[in-house]
Amino acid sequence: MKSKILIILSVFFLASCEEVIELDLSTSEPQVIIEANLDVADQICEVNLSLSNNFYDSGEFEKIEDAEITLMGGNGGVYTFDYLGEGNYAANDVIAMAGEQFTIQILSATYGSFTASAITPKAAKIEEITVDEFEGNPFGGDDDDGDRRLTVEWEDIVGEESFFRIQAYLNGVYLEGSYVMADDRFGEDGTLIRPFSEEFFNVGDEVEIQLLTTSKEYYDYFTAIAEGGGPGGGNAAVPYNPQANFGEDALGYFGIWQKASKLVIVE
Amino acid sequence: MLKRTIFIGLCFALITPLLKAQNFTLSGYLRDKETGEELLYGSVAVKNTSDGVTTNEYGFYSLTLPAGNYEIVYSYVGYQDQLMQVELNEDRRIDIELGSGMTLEEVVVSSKEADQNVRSTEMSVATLDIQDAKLVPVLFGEQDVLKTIQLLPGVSSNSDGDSGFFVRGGDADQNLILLDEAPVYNASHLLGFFSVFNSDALKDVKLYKGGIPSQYGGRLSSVLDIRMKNGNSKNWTGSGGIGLISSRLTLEGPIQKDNGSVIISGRRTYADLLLRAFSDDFSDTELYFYDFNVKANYKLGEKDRIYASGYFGRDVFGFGDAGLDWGNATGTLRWNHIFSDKLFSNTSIIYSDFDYGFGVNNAGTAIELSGGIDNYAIRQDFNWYPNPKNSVQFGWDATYYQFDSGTFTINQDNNEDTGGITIPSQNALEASFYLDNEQKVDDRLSLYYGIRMSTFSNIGAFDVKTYNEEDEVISTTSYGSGDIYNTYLNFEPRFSASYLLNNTSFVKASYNRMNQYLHLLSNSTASSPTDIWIPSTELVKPSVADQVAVGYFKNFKDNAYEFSVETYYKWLDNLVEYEDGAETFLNEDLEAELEFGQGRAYGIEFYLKKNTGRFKGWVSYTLSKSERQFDNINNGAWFSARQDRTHDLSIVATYQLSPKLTLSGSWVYYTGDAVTFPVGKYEIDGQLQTLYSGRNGDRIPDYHRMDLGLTWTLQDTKKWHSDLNFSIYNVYNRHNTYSIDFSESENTPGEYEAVQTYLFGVVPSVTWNFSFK
Repeated sequence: MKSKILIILSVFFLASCEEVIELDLSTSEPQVIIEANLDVADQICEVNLSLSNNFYDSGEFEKIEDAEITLMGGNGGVYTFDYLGEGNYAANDVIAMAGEQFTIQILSATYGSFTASAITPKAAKIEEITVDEFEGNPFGGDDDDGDRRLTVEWEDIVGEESFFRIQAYLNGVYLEGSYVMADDRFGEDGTLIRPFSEEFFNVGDEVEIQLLTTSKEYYDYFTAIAEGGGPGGGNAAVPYNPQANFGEDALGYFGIWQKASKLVIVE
Repeated sequence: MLKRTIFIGLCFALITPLLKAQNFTLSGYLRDKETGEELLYGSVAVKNTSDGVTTNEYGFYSLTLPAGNYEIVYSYVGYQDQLMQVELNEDRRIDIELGSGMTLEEVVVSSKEADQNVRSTEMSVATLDIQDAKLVPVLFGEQDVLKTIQLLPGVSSNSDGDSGFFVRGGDADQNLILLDEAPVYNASHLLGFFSVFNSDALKDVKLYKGGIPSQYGGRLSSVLDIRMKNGNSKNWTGSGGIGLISSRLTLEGPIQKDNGSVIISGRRTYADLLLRAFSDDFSDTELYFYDFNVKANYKLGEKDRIYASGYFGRDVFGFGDAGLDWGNATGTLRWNHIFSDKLFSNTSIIYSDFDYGFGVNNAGTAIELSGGIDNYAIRQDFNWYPNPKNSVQFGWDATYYQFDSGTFTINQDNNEDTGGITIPSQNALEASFYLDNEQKVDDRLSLYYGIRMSTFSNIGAFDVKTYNEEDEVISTTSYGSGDIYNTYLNFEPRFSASYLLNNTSFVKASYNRMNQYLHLLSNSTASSPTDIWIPSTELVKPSVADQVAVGYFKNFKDNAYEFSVETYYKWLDNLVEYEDGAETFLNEDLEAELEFGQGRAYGIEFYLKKNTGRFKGWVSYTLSKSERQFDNINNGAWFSARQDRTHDLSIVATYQLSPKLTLSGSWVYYTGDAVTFPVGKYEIDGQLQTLYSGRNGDRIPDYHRMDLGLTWTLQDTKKWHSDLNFSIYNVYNRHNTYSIDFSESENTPGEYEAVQTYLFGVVPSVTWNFSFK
């Protein structure tokens, strides 16, 4: 909204310009970044461990390669992880039941130990995906964006607070960074409807929509990340470092999610 | 204890002079000869003595003296003094009309009243001469009192071109902005570039930064008391202007000569019309605001007068199927009654409303969002002038608030209600009683002391919730309609003293305590119509401020120059902020997302002003610090408030080149805002994220800007006046930072760079102003 107003002002008053400036920034000790995902359907838990770098640094992020990781389920399951390279670790054949709590322990001789817990959510099912023509996106958008918007419809999980993430594959390619977080505040225990507002599609596109039911911590974390809007801060009132279930020791999250998907050919 | 001391002091002060010889009272109104407008805070004094009073907010004065013959001097800045021989052997009612000094060459124009600034016990007060303010060059040529006060010491602007302001390190919501006594909840148009106050309709603007009198309460840092004109009670006159983006027109005249008058003033911007002319892309764009002020008054006799005034303004944005509009409406009904020549009263019934609405209708989905705040109030104020040494004020008020924190509806396919949420509205009652006295102890020492007792009650129907550390509801208690479920009672002592060092210089000191029961929650740095006002509740304690200030005031060269230096320290407590990552949008449990903390602000302000001659102007400089501390922000350590401006300098000058040409200029400089910049970056879900360190530990580049203006009088006859006002905003094209974002470099992918947005380059404008009689 505000950006549109600034555009109008800039056109009219030949003002509101952007320019690159020299700005010295402070630097920081590398922080431990943990991404841990337990995919219930595929029975796999994947962990990526990396470090932050200075803001103006270029190049790859350093990875943590010396970690020992253990996942423990409330029903007694204990799983160990294999190191796959590039900071990636995985544990296979993880059996998770809805409502079961899992705790993950990460131990690095260099960077210390980190622990987080999450509860396995129930699964949901996509009822319908509708395609409509979206004329004139009022908040901007490039000309080469498509004009077809997908709307996802599903039944809420009755009797409990539920959290969702909608993401998509376009012609088999995962649309990185395009996801919509949703909770059941609007239409609790009924039908939930959300436009996949992050991307517009063209006629003929093959789109796979995935609906993840997530643990609360995962939802809160990605909602905060989405508001933060990547480098430079987005809509958040004051820039800050979102934290999830690893507490203050590390940035990142341990999330558990159930997955449902549906394929549509855009018409 | 303090209350008792004040009470006993007051009794002594009032009784002692009664024991002397027989006294009589001289009372009446001070008015402008041309228009009949009452002159506020003018001086009525016995020549060559320190006995005297100032007129009140309605132009009324009362001076009680022992029987005898007196020479009384009536004066008001910019007007010719009037000397009256008064034989006071009975109570006399004398209304005086002063003529304005038309040309600057005449030296008869009052300079006596000009030393009011040093004589009264008031300190930390800035009055703005609306005529003077009209000469200061401004953005788009649109005169704005809120921007002119930002050029005064201790007052700083929100951001480039913004009418929002901060006083002595306080937050934006700590300023009580009153238009004819009605609080204005959102004083900004067009995201802050214009204030809602149309200068043409205003008579007096007074800003209290400290030493705040007990008749005011409800905000921590300042009171901006704006009074609308009453309208010309002698002749029908008009004035107006046509500018590049807006036009305005004011008409005023008598309902019955000298007995009543009416004023109607309107203003509208038309940026959208020009945009449409400029490009077809904007054919469905709406972008404008308008203001409408109206006021009428009528004398019901020598002792009674009634007033009705109102303001209505609205901003409208529309882009195709999406639209946003917001605005304020205020109304004030007043009754002035003179009980006796020593006791003046005013009774007001006040209404104020702010609301916003947002709507999108697209592909069969209609989304609407709305919210706001309104209040109904009644207040009575009494001025009692028992003797020339004391002026007593007392009164009470009661305000009923309704907070509508937001309603959201989604309507799919334009028929079936598919969802929505309404944040339960809240109600509250604020009531207060105040009593104060301004006492001349002797020729050198004057004291002001007062107390305000304020109460605030939350009223049902409402469900009160308590929360655990995870912001989850742990209990809910329901209250029915009209149930009072939480009450605060606070005492706010106010004190100031003024001591005459020699004929032209004073030292002054003041202390005030303020309570604030309303809090504005904002999730962006610019003022936004969707910022939410919330009441104090059991969880959200009233904010408190204590401020002490000490100052030295001197006038020299026969009051041609005035100088002051003031230093202040302000303690703030129970401040409210969103916690990190707060869920602010339509959250029923918003209270759970808040953090409570404290603040401190201190500084020193220098002010030098030249009042007379062809060359006029002022220099103001403030050196200050403003910090905050919240347990869960910045690891509990103190951090700079965003508006912590170490240095803040303003220079304003006007020079009359010839009777027809006046040149004006201003230059401002201040330390850049305290902000949080990235210290690093990391990757989550394949996306880059920014790593931050402590809160507000960085600074955006310093701000500075020069503006120039030229007012060219085209015609100036008895019946008609017109002038052209040319102004250039940001003469040397300084790119002042509005915001800084960081993005991947286009030239070197993988590397990041800082990109600043600035709003205004050089902005020239021209406005044609006219007035007729």
